[in-house]
Amino acid sequence: MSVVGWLKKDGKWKMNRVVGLMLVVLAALVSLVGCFYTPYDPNAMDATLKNASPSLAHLFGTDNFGRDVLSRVMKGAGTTFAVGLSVVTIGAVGGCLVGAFTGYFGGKADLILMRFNDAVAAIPSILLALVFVGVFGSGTVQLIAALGILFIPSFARVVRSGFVVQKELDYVKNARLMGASHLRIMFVHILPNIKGSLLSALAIGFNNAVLSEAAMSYLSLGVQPPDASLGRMLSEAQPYLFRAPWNAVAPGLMILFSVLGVGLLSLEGGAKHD
Amino acid sequence: MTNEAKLSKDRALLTVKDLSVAFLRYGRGDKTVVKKVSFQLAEGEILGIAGESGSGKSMTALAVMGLLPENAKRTCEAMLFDGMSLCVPATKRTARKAKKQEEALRLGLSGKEMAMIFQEPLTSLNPVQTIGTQMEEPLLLHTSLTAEERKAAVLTALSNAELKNGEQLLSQYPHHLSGGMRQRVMIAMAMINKPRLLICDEPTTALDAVTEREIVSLIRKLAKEQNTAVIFISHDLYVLRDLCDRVMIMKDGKVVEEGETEQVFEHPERTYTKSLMKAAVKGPKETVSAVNGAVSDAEARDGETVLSVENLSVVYKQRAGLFKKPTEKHAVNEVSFAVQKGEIFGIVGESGCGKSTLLKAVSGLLTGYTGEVSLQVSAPCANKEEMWEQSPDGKKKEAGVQMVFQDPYTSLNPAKKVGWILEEPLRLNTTLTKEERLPLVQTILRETELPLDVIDRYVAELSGGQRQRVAITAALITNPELVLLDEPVSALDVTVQAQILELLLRLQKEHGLTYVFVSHDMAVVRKICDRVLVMKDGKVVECGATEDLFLRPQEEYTKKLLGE
Amino acid sequence: MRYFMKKTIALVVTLLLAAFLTFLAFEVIPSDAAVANLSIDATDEEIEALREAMGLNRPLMVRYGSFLLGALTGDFGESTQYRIPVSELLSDRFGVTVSLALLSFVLIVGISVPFGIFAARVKSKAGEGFVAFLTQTMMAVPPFFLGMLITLLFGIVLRWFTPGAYVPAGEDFFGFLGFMIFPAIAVAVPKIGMSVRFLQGSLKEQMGADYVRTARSKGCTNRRVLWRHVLRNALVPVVTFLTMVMAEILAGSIVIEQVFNLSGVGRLLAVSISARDFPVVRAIVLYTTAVVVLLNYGADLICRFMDPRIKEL
Repeated sequence: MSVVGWLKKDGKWKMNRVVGLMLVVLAALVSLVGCFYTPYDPNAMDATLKNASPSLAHLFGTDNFGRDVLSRVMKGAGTTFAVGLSVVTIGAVGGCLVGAFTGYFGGKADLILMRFNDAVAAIPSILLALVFVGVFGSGTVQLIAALGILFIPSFARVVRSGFVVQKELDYVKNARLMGASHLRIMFVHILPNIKGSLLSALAIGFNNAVLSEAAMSYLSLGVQPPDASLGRMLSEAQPYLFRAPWNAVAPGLMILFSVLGVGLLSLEGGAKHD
Repeated sequence: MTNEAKLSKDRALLTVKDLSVAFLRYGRGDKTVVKKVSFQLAEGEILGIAGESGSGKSMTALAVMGLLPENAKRTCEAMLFDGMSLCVPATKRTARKAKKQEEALRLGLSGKEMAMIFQEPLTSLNPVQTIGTQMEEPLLLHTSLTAEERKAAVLTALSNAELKNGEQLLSQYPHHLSGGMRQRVMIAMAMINKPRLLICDEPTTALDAVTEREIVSLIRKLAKEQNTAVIFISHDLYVLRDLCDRVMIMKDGKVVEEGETEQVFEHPERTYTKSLMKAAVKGPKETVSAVNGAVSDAEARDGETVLSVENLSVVYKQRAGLFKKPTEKHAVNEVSFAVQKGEIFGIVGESGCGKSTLLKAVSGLLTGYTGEVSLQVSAPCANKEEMWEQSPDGKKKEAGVQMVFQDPYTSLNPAKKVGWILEEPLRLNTTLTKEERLPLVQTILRETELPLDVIDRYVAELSGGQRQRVAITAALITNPELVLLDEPVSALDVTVQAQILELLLRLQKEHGLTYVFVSHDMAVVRKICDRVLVMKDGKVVECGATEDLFLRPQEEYTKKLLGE
Repeated sequence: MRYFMKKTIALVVTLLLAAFLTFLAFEVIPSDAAVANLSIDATDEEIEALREAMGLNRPLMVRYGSFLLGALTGDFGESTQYRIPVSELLSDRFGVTVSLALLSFVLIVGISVPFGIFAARVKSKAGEGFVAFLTQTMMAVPPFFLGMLITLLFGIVLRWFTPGAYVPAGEDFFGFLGFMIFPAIAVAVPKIGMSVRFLQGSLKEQMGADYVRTARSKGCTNRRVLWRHVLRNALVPVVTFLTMVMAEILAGSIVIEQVFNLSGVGRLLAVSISARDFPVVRAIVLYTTAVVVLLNYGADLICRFMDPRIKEL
């Protein structure tokens, strides 16, 4: 399917997809370019340029240490998205395995695991992440590990509920009669059928991960200085909010746009009739 | 017909002229599902509308009631109920006003002068309101009765619908009741204001054969007592013939034929009507003359037993809860039978009689049973290498048990293309390469009369009949010795049903296959099976050669099933 | 009644389990509390003596027992950072957090229920798109960024409140409200976006249900269909959803208290984690978990009351 075909429905542009794709592409470009090139060294301080307002030389101005905000946003977005992607990957792979096995086989193990899962899921993930970081110390790796593990239950729940429904369907029985192994049924026959809910869980998970990273780093419990991350930048910008609001607005909007973009892309849109 | 009846017939209660219903679709043009349908209904008359799915019969009814979905648009020349126009003609400018007018009239008539019952009584009742609350709503909306009077009226209506314990029912919720009781509640609720028109949209499709007959006779009784005109929609021609004064046959949104019931059934004029009648005809199995030089039935069954089941029992145990004792339920109770090679063995019974559980145990999908199931067939994946070696006479070696399920929507993997689905059994059971598998798939597709391009399509893109053909193809591709058919035609329209049965019979003849055919539909069983086993509550009621059993049923229950 | 008992037993079991996990989490900390309390150059004997004094050498289950007993009586030991009982530290801060959470919850329910009903009735493509875009945007704003924007706009530019100057409710209730409304908005906005979407989805699903057609066939007006038939069905999942939102409000307040410089439980938690003040962290985690579990219990009972089909555990 072509991109344009995907963006259109019944000859009309689907605005949520168009806007969403633009925002996601923008966010991806900014962070990817930031990996290889930034206008200035994101960590280079310049005492003569503290909290300078936006200008041609510094499009988004400079921060309290005279660092270029645009460069830091580019670098920071990379860090934030990398954390988000790693977290979602850990959560999705772990969740798929746990959810597939418990959902497909059921039984006592499923009962106990799901009880545990429910208990973990009932508690807000940021609280658990805080405890995790409290116990194992703060830092990017600990943050990814903490959020990644904490995201497993939510993916497991989605995958499990998909499996519980799908395994009762006749095509699964049919596959059994054909002599397919349990593993093959789980991952070749059933998994493609829950692609839809898994994709939207991925989108929601990514957004939650980005927002959680930002919140944790804002509380100085995530990415550590001098590394730039969007949440970190917001926390550093707060004391100078009145003098240099651009310090906060640039990273804030970057988070907003990327999360909004992914959110819009994952929207189930369009009329469901015929 | 008495003079009085004739007189009332002359006065049309409902006149519909050139009714069309279209679904609005952005950018793709509208999709018309009802095309210029016209009919009249006299006071107290029962009109049946028959047609297969997609014929527009339900949409016609909903259009009369003003209950079409929001993206549907209805247009008509005239729609008069007792002289009142249900469909106000409007130009673009007056559309809003006309719609308001229609809505006001609809609110006044619906539930009072005209009422409707639907196919699924469970979902059609509000799950969080008591029966009492829901029953009295039409009274609340259309009468000025006091609370006690309403309660009395509700109780009367319930007893009219032959429901006992009305008092107790009032405080119960829909999920407490059985399917038949729910539909009775729906009928009682629809009839509570003694409407002059009752529209029934497939009201018995979700019910058992026995319950179906009870509901139909209830509708007939109430309609007669209160002189209510009825529009009865069904795909089941026998129900219509039994109930209706007149019938109307619809196809693709158009009326194909209309007339007095007997006239239409005895002397159908249109080819489509004829094919419908032919498909629905109840009769014995046609002894097809041997095709392709295959030996005749009797000789094919040279006593070789393919499947024998002895004292099979399946017990479902409900685990003990914190406050509950463990309970046991015999889903299948001491069932024994044997199936000979080359025969079609039928198992019939109402839903919940254990026939599906029995089939699961035979197929090996269910293991927790007691008793003996012995299959004289090789396991599906026993001889991977040999299976597709062809013997000198071109016949494939046989392998295993395969199954065809009721609903091809769920029995075929929706995430895969048909080609993949058909190749999967070969992939699992043979060592054939990708290049070798494709021609095999193509060959068998030709046999099941499917176009070859289905290989590249998803199941959702096929019609119901095509889907079931794919399911049959997938089951037969490994050339199994025993094929279990679990209600294989129940989800299909009658004409498609006939085609699929024909296909099954032909394949059985040509390849000497053995079928176990499970169904709740006596007519279908009679048409295809050599021997039949009747089940009730997990037990065998009766077993014998099909024609013997149909012509001379021994047991009361069998007679009841046959509708005698 | 049976349902009630089952749920209550499950509640007690869950609470005990949560308490045990919280207890255990801080038992596996690489450096134990005794080490954390002493300077780096403490000798092994000194550490051992303190361990003995703090009761860290007793068996695990005994310590769990005394921890549980302490938790029930509100005794969580002493904060290693402030050297005062944890319960004292918490009691000062509960008011702020609870009032922030309640105020946000009132905002969320008060705005999203009517707006959700309105959104479910929007028919036009453009209208649907607008609602979707609006709710997605609300959900995408990081609450602390929103808090900063609110501080900037209402606190610094418009001067509607003085940033950082919390007014206790006891002194000046309207002053308190005038201040707290701003952090509450920051907490509420993303949740309003979520709730509106959820309620809209739930209502739309119910509006397509078969029983709606039945109600209309009885002559119900659209208004009656919505209020008498659809709403109660649609609200059942919403109750469970709102419990989850409430739990997230509690979590969200951790960050928002930081932004608005409120001395609440959340801020204390963040500070205590940085300072590795584990008795405080443990107490807060246990309390929050207990609140969340109790909320779920309450939601289950409400759902049972609203939907007669729920019978099994």
